Amino acid sequence: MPDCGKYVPGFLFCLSFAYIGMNLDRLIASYHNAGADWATFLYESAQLNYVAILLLGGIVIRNTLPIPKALLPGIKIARPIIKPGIIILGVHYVWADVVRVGSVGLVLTAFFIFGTAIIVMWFCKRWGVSDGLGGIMGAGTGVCGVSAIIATSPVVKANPIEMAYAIGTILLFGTLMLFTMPYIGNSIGLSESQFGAWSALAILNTAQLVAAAEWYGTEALNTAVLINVARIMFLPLVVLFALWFYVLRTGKQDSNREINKWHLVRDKFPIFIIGFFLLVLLNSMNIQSLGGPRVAGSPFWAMNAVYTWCFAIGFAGIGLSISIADMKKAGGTAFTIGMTASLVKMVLGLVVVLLIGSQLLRIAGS
Amino acid sequence: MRILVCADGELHSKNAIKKAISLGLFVSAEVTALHVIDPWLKTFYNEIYAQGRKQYLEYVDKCLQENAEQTRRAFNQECVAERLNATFKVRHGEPLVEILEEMNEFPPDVLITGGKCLNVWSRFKSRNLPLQLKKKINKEVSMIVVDNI
Repeated sequence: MPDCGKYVPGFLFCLSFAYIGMNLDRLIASYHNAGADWATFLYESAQLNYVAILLLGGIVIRNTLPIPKALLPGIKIARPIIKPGIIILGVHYVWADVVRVGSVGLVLTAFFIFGTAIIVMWFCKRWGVSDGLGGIMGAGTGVCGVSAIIATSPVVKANPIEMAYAIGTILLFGTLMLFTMPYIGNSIGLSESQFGAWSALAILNTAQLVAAAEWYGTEALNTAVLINVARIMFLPLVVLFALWFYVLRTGKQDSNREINKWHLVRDKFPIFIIGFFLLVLLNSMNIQSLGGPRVAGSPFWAMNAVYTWCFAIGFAGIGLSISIADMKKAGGTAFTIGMTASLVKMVLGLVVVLLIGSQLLRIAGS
Repeated sequence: MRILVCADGELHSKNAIKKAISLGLFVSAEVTALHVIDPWLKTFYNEIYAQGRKQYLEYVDKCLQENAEQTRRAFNQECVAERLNATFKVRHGEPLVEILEEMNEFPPDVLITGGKCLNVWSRFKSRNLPLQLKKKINKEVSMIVVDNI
């Protein structure tokens, strides 16, 4: 039986931290509404909402205070609590949104994901970068950061040093983008839906992507999550592409080990998005007994309240997991690849969302 | 006399091993090589959208074990070639913590590590294990850092 007790202290710590962060957010908002200048500065100029409080506070705690070892397992399991939050977020959408924004997102992500993965892998091959590093950096910068590295590294046989460089690099640039993009978006007057699409295309790591979008606003989060769902659906295909590019095409396949491509796609498919689409479907069917996110007292309204808590606990976990020591592992060729790919994606993504405009990217909901 | 040498399988630590062996032969010291298996990579298995977690953990474990085995083989070959009787140890955990723990349990007279040649930027962002060890070890232990030149 797994030792669940070891997760309790850290998880309770994240829960308490999330509670404090949410209440500080409410406190600042209430002072801001009452006209206090300092609160207006924090709320509007510094954009200090609960996301920023939890992320920045978490980073400060993690990197300045000695965190007891007993808390670490619980902090680690707090991050994936965002996942049920994303499933629950399905109640924010109807099929019309999925078809309109999702199809735009699908085209954009297909272009950005495969564009990044193919270009990175091709350049790496040309410049003599090892197959392992080229493969994980192509998938990591193209799809969803560390999650993609985890899925790809056994397939392209990346070695541990390359993996450490790649993970450090993705974490470094993901964190830099998380803390700069909301301010850039605000300064150039990007709408929430445009920002959501931009973050979903540009931010390398998923956790940071969700945090940046929620930081910017609910509408940004709705667009970002839908486009990100489209993005992660491509994960198995990118792994398959890396397999073909580095192993099958070059004949480097282990002769006594048959690779089952169907099993590979099945193993790398993010099953939880089925839950997300199931809730979209139920919300679209307009079932009276389920109500809606804005119908007080209904099941969907309750779920909508729960998602904020899932995100708050997850963001507390993310903040408390951002370690400067981890990011110091960034280096070598991975650093150059990560920096180039993230800058190019950031600029190109911004140009594309500015060209598309807000209307096509806005989630109308029910 | 007891010499402890840190061996992670990289070029700078291969140079450190050579230094430890020649010093061990010169002063007839007992040489122990320490390889630390760092589980850092495994801590990322539960990333939000991570798929194929079991396969990833198995793969990382296999890579780390192979690296330890290769380092042990290379160390033994060097020792056989130089006709030195030496010990190879493996510990699991954060390298700095484990090296200090080993030194605490079996105090050496000399600690030898490899060191990368770092430029200003790398020095700023690197973990620089030899520097961290220097700050934390007992002052009675001599420390030699063999640069990767």
